[in-house]
Amino acid sequence: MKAGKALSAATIFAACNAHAGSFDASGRHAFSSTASATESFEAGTAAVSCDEGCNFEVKQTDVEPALDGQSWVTFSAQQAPFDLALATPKVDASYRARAWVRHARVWARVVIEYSDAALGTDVAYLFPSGQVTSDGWVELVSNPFSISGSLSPKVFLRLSGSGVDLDAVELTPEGAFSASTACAGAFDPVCGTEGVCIAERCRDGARYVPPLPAAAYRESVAAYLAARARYFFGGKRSRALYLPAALAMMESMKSATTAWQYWSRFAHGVRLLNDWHTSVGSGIDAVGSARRLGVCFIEGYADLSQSTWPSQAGSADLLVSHVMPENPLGLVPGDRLVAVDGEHPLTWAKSLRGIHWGYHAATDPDVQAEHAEAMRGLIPLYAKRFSIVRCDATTLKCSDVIETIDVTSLPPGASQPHCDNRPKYHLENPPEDSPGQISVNHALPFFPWRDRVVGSPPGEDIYGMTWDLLYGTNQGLTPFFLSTNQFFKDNARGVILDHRAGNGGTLDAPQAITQLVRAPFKLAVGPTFLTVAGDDGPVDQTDALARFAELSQLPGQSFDVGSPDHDPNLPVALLIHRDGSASDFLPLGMKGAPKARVFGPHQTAGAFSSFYQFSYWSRLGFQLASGDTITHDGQTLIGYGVAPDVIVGHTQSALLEGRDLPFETALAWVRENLK
Amino acid sequence: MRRAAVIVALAAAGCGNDATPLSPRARPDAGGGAVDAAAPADAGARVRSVEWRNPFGRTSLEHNFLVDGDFEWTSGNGQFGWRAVGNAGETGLGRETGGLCRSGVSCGVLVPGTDLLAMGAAPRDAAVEVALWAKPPSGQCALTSVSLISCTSFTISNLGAVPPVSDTPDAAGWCRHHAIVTKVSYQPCLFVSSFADPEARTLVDDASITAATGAGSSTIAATAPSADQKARIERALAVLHQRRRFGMPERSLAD
Repeated sequence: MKAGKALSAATIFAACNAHAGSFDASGRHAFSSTASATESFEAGTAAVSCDEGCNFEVKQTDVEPALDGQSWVTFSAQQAPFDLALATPKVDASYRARAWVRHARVWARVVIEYSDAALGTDVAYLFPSGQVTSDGWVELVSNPFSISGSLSPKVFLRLSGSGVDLDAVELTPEGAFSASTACAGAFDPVCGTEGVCIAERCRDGARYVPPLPAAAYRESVAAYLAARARYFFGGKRSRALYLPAALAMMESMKSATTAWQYWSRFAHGVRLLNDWHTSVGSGIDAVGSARRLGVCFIEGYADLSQSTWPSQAGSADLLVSHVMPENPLGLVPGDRLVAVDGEHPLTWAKSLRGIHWGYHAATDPDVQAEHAEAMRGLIPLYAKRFSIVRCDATTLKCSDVIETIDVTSLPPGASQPHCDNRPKYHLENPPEDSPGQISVNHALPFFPWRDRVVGSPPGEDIYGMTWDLLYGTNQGLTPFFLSTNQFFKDNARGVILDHRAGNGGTLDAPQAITQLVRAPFKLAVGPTFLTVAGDDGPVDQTDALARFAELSQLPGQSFDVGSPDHDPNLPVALLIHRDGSASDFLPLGMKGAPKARVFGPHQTAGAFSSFYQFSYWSRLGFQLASGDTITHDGQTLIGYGVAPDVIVGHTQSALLEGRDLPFETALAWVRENLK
Repeated sequence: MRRAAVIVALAAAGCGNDATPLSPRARPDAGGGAVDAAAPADAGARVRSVEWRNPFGRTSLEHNFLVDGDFEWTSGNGQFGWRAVGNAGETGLGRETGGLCRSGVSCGVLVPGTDLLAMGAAPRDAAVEVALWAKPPSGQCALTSVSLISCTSFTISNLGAVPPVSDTPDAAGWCRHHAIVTKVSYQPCLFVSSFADPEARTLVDDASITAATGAGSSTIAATAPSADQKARIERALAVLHQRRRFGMPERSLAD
């Protein structure tokens, strides 16, 4: 059966109290007599939407009996979801949703679409309750959630998964109705302890997480999850700096009395691990703001506005890097973001760690580039207002007036630029599939952009490569990097590699790039996963050297840079800014080459590990960095970003003039050292 | 599958509803114990049994040094606690659900030609106790091969065999594999293969690596793998190393 077919409604109505469906002594399911809406797919009467990329079939067999009645539905919905309409009473009420699935895991959520734009779309995710049947059925259940039925929203159960059997969908009244509440700013107390203010509305946290585990295993689930961090997380520095606080937070899960307390404490614990590879996710990640800020910010020094707002010790200033034609708020490169909700923007961004599930930080505690890059998206989600200083590109002067903009004044619905720490591009012939893709949107393609540097005439022949990804292997970018090495050796007298939004990839990619600049060298070993559970790393340099010696004997365990065929006379400048993981390894491998220099404002993220992923049902999951890297001279690297050879950042005056100081500095060095 | 006696549990607290749950174990929050009872005479043919489980698996084994011994946190494709490798390289790991599994709500599906690797870490200064449950398609526990191997390198010179504790499955069709292996100096992984007929599925669940307490089985010394085993293990290890990723966290942890 296929796509977009409403087979007709068969939702049954009832009123009243919260009771789950149940089983008779033979194991046949019956809906609760109190259910407000049910669906068991009998007689092909379900109202289903299953568009291109989704398919389903109503089934009846005796081999695998239905859970309820005689029929169930089998679906595969990966590219498009499987939607089942639920006709709910037109009254404001709180419900708990249940559904039974078999043979595969799913993402399952009740979606409530309001016509009122202020209310938007609400969801409530379903997770395994723990009730299962001997023939494979798993009960999924949501926490209680409210529907403003008086507003006649469209309500449906949405599922994604492959080869899933579904039956016995049920919505039963449970809990007290709670109307959607407007709020302002991340820490608005109006949302209470069970919600969080995102995009100007209180989001009921329980909608995004599993029910509070039963008392019988509440403590063991917490202890087990904490043990994943204790036994598998990180390396020497990251475990020492971050693990104790994270474990303490996870320990507090045991005293939680609500689902949101329990799971938000776990998520906060993961974020306290403060690692570039480490993250936690749930359906709450998908909560967005319709408001658009068409501006990207970058770290720099606000040399023209110190008298209006002095820099804060220990933090870079935040400057406008580039803007979109839509919603730039009249801002131009060089304008300054001085505060968000009264705090330094980077301090404010770090304060979100307790509530923002998508929080992403460098492992090196002194690096804040991730927060600066994320600022454009964080402000519409979590800020009440932000303060700017405008400057004039003609006079090169900045206003002495601090202008504060309310987030509610941001218009909705426009496109946003990619924030890639590049105020400008410098290569000829941008490979754009559509006009403005790179030059306006800053959306770089997967394949690196390689061409002549703008303004470098034949004879000088300075070439460059601009790219973000290091996904190598023979099926990925490694062959391209190797052929590019040859291209540069054959055609260039100088090279500038612009990798200022380095998202990592695999290690063979940076190894390939270093073959341009240096002789072979076994630079480091790892990153390996932890050999011993809970290993805190080498106790001293002697221990580290012993580990290096042992691992360097094993194939595939060392970071081998260089090639006998490198070009020792070709100057190669590498530009870095916000770089992590394999993009940490790239500058690590370039440094020390005789004619390579790394340029940037500060060190990289220090994410010298790989990671393990953990994925549960309905978008709940987390990722833990695991392992460390040890250099040939016995240094552990995780938590220590790679510092540039030449530290150069942006200034307010240079950005106002349309200049890109790190690039200009690199270009000047290359010109002085042409092959 | 075992045809257990019908067991009727007390209704869950707060959910006194239309019918009585059929449950070998009471709902954990119910506060009452389970009660065995015969099926009512008019109950009709038994379709299934129903039970309550910890939906996060056997979390009581906090000190399990496998990343995800119970398959509850492993998805189809990614750098998860379990990986599946076949002739064509890494493949999506099949899973089964609910009471078909030994514990929790998810378990792994093993098919001939595709091997499973479970990522782990070694206990500090202790022998390694390994356990795993497999449900082969027929009554021969030897159809499933379980080994403790090193994931530190591409190559394999020896392994610790983890044999079934009996030749035939228990009443529910499950075979327990168990061994204590001498202390290891490498990153341990479990390598699981099936020798059942093509297309036949073996369920795998509730695996663990723990510090050996000294009780139970005697310690097993490492042995050399057969040529076929060595080839399959090294095929899997090569995939593991080539695909090791060092990149930005994925915000969408797809299933």
